[in-house]
Amino acid sequence: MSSNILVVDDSATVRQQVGTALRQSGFNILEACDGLQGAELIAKGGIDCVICDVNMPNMNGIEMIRKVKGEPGNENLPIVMLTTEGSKELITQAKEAGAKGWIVKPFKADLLVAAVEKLTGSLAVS
Amino acid sequence: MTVVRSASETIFERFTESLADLIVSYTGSEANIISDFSDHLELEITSIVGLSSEEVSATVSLASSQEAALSLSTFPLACAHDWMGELANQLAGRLKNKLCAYGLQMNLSTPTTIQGNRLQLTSSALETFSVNAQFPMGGAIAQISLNVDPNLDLTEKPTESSSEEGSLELF
Repeated sequence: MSSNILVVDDSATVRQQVGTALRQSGFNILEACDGLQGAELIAKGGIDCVICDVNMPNMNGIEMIRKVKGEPGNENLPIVMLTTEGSKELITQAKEAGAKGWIVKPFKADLLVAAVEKLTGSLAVS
Repeated sequence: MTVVRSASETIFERFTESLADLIVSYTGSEANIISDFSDHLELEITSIVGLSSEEVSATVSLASSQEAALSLSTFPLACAHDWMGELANQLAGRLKNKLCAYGLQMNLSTPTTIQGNRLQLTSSALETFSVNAQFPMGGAIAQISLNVDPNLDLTEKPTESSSEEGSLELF
């Protein structure tokens, strides 16, 4: 059974790029345009991994992690940040909030897929 | 003889490098970048991102034709408006990461994108630096407007760094 990956980014183009890379490897993709929408989708359940931007309107990525990790059932949900940000300070904040990884844009599709496969414990179903 | 650069000059240099890096990452080849506020480019779309810290506030803008903006991608795109915002975001993000090496921790805004015909970027009362980048499918104007604390001295700090673009770190 394919894993469900939630892509959270205010850029529709980035969501499209990430979604295409992961769909080609057999993952099911859901999308959210900001942290608030992302948190709402996670609360509905069924998400196996999250790829999330940092700088977004309404609720940024780190705020979203803090919110969802504070809710029962999300303790083991892997969340990987995908962002232009690369500062060590911000990476530490994300890690302390509960993020499982950090990718600096522009991303390499093979690295992204490998990371998602590792975090979901699945090999791609093509 | 050591050349002392102002903080603004250092930021402008890193800005130019950031634009060059952006073009290379999406075209695979180096852009011809000149410090010329040329008006011969047909500018149809521009996106603006703010950066701020205690010592520096800046506005980064990137403008081009829709065709040129869409050409700066590694896969087919339909929406220049959204993609231009992401390009400006990546340009500002690269600059922010480079400035980490000087101990500057800046905050990024989300991009604002405007579409129109024959857009013109004009300089503001702040220190402004514009460059013209030419690449295979067109060109772009990138501009940074700065307000810098006059006492700011930017010196590279070897212990300060940021993660490289494209890098993946799993915790």
